[in-house]
Amino acid sequence: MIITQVETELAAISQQLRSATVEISNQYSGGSGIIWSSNGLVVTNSHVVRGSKSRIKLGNGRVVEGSVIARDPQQDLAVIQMHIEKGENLSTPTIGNAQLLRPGEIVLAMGSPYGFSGALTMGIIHVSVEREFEKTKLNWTQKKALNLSYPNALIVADIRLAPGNSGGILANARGEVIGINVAIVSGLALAIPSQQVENFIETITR
Amino acid sequence: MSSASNSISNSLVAFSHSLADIVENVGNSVVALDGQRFPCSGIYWREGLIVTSEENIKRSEGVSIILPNGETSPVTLLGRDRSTDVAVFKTEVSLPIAPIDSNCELKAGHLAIAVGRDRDRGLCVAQGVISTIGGSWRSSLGGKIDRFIRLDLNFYPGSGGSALVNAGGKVVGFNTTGPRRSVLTIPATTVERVVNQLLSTGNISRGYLGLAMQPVYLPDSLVDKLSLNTQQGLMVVNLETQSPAEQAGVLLGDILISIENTPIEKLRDVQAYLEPQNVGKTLKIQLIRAGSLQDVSVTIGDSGQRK
Repeated sequence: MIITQVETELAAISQQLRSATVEISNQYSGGSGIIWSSNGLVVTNSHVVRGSKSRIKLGNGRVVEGSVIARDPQQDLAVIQMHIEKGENLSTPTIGNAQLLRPGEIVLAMGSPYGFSGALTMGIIHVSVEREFEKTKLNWTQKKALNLSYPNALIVADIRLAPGNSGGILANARGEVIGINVAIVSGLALAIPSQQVENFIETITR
Repeated sequence: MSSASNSISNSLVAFSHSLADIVENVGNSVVALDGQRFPCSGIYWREGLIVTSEENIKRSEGVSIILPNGETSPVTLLGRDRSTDVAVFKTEVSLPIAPIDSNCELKAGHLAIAVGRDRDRGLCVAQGVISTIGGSWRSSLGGKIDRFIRLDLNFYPGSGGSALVNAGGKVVGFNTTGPRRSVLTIPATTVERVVNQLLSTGNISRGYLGLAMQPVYLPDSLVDKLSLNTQQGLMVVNLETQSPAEQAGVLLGDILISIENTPIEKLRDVQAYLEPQNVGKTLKIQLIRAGSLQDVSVTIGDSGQRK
């Protein structure tokens, strides 16, 4: 049965993604985050973090403190340094190439919608990534939520997301991180391509 | 960084690849229609013919299509049938003809892929499952749809007229919206039938009586008096001038209770007699007028030639 095979693989990927996802909570907002490097860098959306400190809940339930070391509301990205012990090795996800995505490819989202940690949803790529998402078609609130001057192309996927998925993983069928979920517009999920996240991290760690 | 370099290693990846391949293949035959209030998609159904969902077509002039390669080309409306939601455009452009399968097996739970095209964003795809499969049904305007197909997938702006593709990569119909935001598919069989009729007669005609009717319950006393075998009928509330019904002598206020000796209770019962092939035939209608039964014979007119 091919369906049981797919199921087993999904469960394995979901396990792998869950260990690389964290839940971020602070006084006013919350969302998900991705462990980007084994020394404790967590990437999330700028709208998920408020202030300079965050409580981060790891996949295994452990809660650590983190301080926000970079924020860019324009790109809606933020980086948090988790306060972990030296020598501790965190599992990090494989980063995929969002430029290679084709419409129809399967994508998986991992995050904490409505605070349910480690929730996996499955969908497909809606349009190919190269084209810039039409910002002019959005209404005022959506523009505001998306940040009007959004500079880059976004991944558009037909996948079920909910508040709390922000900052979480969008992965391909191999379980590689291809983007970071950022917004929901008329049911469609928008994600920042992984390359852009890497560029962002490069600018701050330089 | 290895999405392309790895060979297909597991079934989920293989599944994902096949989905993208199917979308790419069918996508070559799917165009975007421009010049409408709401954007919609169209399918290159036959050589030179684009099929789309009629409900999206608000303007029939100055319509153009956006091809898979991004070029724009003007199209002319060949015909539209509101009752089956089929609209057909003629194009000069040659594209690969969509891989249509009109009699494939469909079951609830089968994979459903909706492939549409947006003028700016290119291919727009949604995936879900077939949630309900049923036999033939009649739309609210009386059109016969050969199969009831309801989908469980997200319907985005621009998805009207998008191709429903099965897991075999075949186009089994086009998608449209039903009542209460449901997503329905007009099956390929219906599209073929309507397109054939359109090509042979030049227009899509339907039977026409010229009556507006409303269902009414008959009082028990009347049912007893006339010893009827039905409790309901259709009361004539409007009668068009020079219509077949008027010429047959139907009056306002008449209550139709049977056609060809079969009781009628709903408007759809009447619409079942108004199929295109019945135009010109004579119907024996039994009605109640002034408390007594009467028979009239109405010759079914052609909706395309009224007025």
